[in-house]
Amino acid sequence: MNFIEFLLNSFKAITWQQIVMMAVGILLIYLAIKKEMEPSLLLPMGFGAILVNLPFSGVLNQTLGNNIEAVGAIEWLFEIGIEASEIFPLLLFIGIGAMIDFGPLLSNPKLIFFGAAAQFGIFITIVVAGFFFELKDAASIGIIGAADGPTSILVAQILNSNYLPAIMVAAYSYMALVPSIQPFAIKLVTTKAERKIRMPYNPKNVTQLAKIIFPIAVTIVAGLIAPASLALVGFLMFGNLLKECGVLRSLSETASGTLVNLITLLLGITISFKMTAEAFVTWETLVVMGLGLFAFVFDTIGGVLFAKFLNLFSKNKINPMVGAAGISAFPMSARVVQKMGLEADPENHLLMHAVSANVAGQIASVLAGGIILSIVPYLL
Amino acid sequence: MYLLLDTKNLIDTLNIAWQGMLTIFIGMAVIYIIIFILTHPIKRKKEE
Repeated sequence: MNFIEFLLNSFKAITWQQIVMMAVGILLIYLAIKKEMEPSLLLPMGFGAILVNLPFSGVLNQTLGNNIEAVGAIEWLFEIGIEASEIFPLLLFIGIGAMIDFGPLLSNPKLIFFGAAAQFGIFITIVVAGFFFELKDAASIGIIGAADGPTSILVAQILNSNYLPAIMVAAYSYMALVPSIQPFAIKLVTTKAERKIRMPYNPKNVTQLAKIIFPIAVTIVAGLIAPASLALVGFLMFGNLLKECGVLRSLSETASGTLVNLITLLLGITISFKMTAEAFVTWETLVVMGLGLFAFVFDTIGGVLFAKFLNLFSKNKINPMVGAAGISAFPMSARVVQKMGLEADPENHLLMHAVSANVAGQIASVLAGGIILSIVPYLL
Repeated sequence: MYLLLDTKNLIDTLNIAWQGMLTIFIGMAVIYIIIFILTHPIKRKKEE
């Protein structure tokens, strides 16, 4: 190879698909910085998309001259952190668990059912996706509706979905777009009078013992009902137990601070390994993104309609918007409901009810992931 | 990607959908009972 050829080698090898992916990377970085959309994930993912799409990228495994094998750092991170054990998303759950306060839910437990109802989008999307994709891909696409990035990654990776990169990007992008998606979906199925319904908040005292027993009991229940959910629920509840036990403050702070930051930093750049042009620049990616949006909208509609259904039998009416907060996107969804409540009636404070439904959504979404992992492998 | 006119796929996805929703509701109902048991003694103390 002469010198000029050596210099131009990469320029000649670049494809239009790689250029598109680098543009996508720049767009993600722009959205992260300028629009502050999930910056901790979209920025590393965007930068990673540029890294993995440069020709002969050193962050991917390469065969050099004379068959010398060079290990790429991002490919190695993906193999050990996600492919081998899914440990990155699971470790993230310990940190998330250490951040969650289940107090509002323990104080107002009937709202737990909104967490279940707002998973409707996952399952209706699986049915719709089944018209276009194989079962393992349809199930993985449906889980975008969990509104929970780590669960989406875990399910799609375990089911070996062909659309993991699009699923990851959809899951995180739509989570960032909750403040835009949910008001639209809520307004589709509620009247202004319904959005004005006031709900008095009378919190009960919750003892520390109850807060300690709760994560242990939920882990055992989840393990018995959907054993495949144990990795997800168990790590989430382990993190919560660290927080609530009262004797491991330092570990709890590390889990909710340092560990979350470290894993988030690595997770974003690691999952970009799958954002290579050949895997991502396809029509299927657009369909997956569309189905992901469909899942988010129907999660919201499912939660709202369930609240309206309960209102048919209940004397104390529930503001149907609280049902929409049953998705896992915490605390964005609760904030959306509070904001819309105040828009409808400036003295209508729904935040604590919405927070209860929102933390219920976090349990329900990991349970939904586990349930899919329990059912789908037997049908393949 | 193309339109899959596979009856088995459709039946399987419908099965996942109803079984999944039902299992989540059962799971949440069990957790509700746990919360009720955990918080009930507090209520009784208050009543006393």
